Amino acid sequence: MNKKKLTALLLAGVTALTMGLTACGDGSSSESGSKSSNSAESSKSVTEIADELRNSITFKDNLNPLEEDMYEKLYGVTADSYKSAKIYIGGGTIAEEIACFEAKDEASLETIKNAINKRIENMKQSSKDYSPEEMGKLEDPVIVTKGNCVYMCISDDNAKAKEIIG
Amino acid sequence: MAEQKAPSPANRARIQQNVISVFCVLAAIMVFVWLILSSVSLETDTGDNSSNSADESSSVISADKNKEDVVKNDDSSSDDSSAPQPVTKDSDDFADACFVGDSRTVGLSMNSGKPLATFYCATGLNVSSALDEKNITLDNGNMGNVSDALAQHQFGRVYVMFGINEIGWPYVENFQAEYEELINAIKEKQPDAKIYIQSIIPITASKESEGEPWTNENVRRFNVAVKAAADNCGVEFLDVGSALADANGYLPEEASTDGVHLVKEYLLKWLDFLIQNT
Repeated sequence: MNKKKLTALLLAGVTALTMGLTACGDGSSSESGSKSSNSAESSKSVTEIADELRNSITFKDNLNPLEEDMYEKLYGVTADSYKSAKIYIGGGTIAEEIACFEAKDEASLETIKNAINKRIENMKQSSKDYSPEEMGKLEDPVIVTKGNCVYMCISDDNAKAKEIIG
Repeated sequence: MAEQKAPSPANRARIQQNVISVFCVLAAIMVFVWLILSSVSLETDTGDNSSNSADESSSVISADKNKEDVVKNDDSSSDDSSAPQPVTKDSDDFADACFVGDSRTVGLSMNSGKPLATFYCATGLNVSSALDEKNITLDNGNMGNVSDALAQHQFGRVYVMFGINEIGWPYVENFQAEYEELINAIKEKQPDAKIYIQSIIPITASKESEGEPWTNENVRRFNVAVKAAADNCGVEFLDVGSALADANGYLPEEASTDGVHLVKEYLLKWLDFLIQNT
């Protein structure tokens, strides 16, 4: 009798523990799921927006993701200023680029926005003598700020870029 | 486990019940373990999108502590789009290297993935304007020529590539003379550096179809002058152009979007050639 009771108790305990742990597991996975959707101000993250800009707009150049350890070199943006970011760059002669950042706070957002403007000025400096046909895009880049996120896209399709960024 | 005694029916029933109980407990434990493992993997998958960016950010944070490691980390973490795989990664961080050149070197500066390397380059730069005009942004924010730029730091290696903007010049002798003047200015500012003069990378067949001056015959002609200039100045000539050309001496079509400037895959092949040969 004791053995039966013990076995029954053990089984009940294991079942209860299993249910409890899986509930926690489901809870935390759905919690992290909601965190990932709330991490950006919109329903899509800045990296998702950058990817969508890259994949939905027709670019003349071959754009590739810029390595993160090059962000400071090319944009002057340091890692302590953003939560997430993605930059797509080309070969340097065609004015096409994507840069999306989720800043850590308002002050960092201003720093990043200034860095983006400086980057565009540098591109203008490079283009004005040898690729004047690129200047039009650099004079009218898409730069959108939403909350602590800033999205920049230089392309031949500003309308599409604005539609994607929202 | 079979009992060798002759159990009574009651004992046998008890034994059978015990065995069944043990199996039930074992089955419950297996289900328990499986469920735990499933919830762990579910948690990991759901959090993957949010953690991906965090991983990239944290790899940059680690860059501040150890830049050499970052070259490894980022090369592996940034491959989530259609970017082609780099040919080589970490065997040379080019921390002691400076690259001097025109827009082809600008492309390299943006796509090299070598944040410790230094690039003094500009679109449209040529062997004459490199010294005669102020096209390079100096550390103090002012503009300077290549000589001013190279006066700022001492490098272990200086890689130079000019020529694509000059292949339409009427006199290749002038090109060679100007190049020698530039090389000597570089030697003066970088007395201890190993200087490499890189050959002009060819152009694609489609670019060549535009006609003069865009011909690989001009590229070859001017490369003879590039080598002569390097030899006359006592510095090493690196035939990067041949390393990137196809069997017919053309830049492959897939290497460039405009026939002249390299896509990332070929910029990394260029870098790989330097890693293997210098």
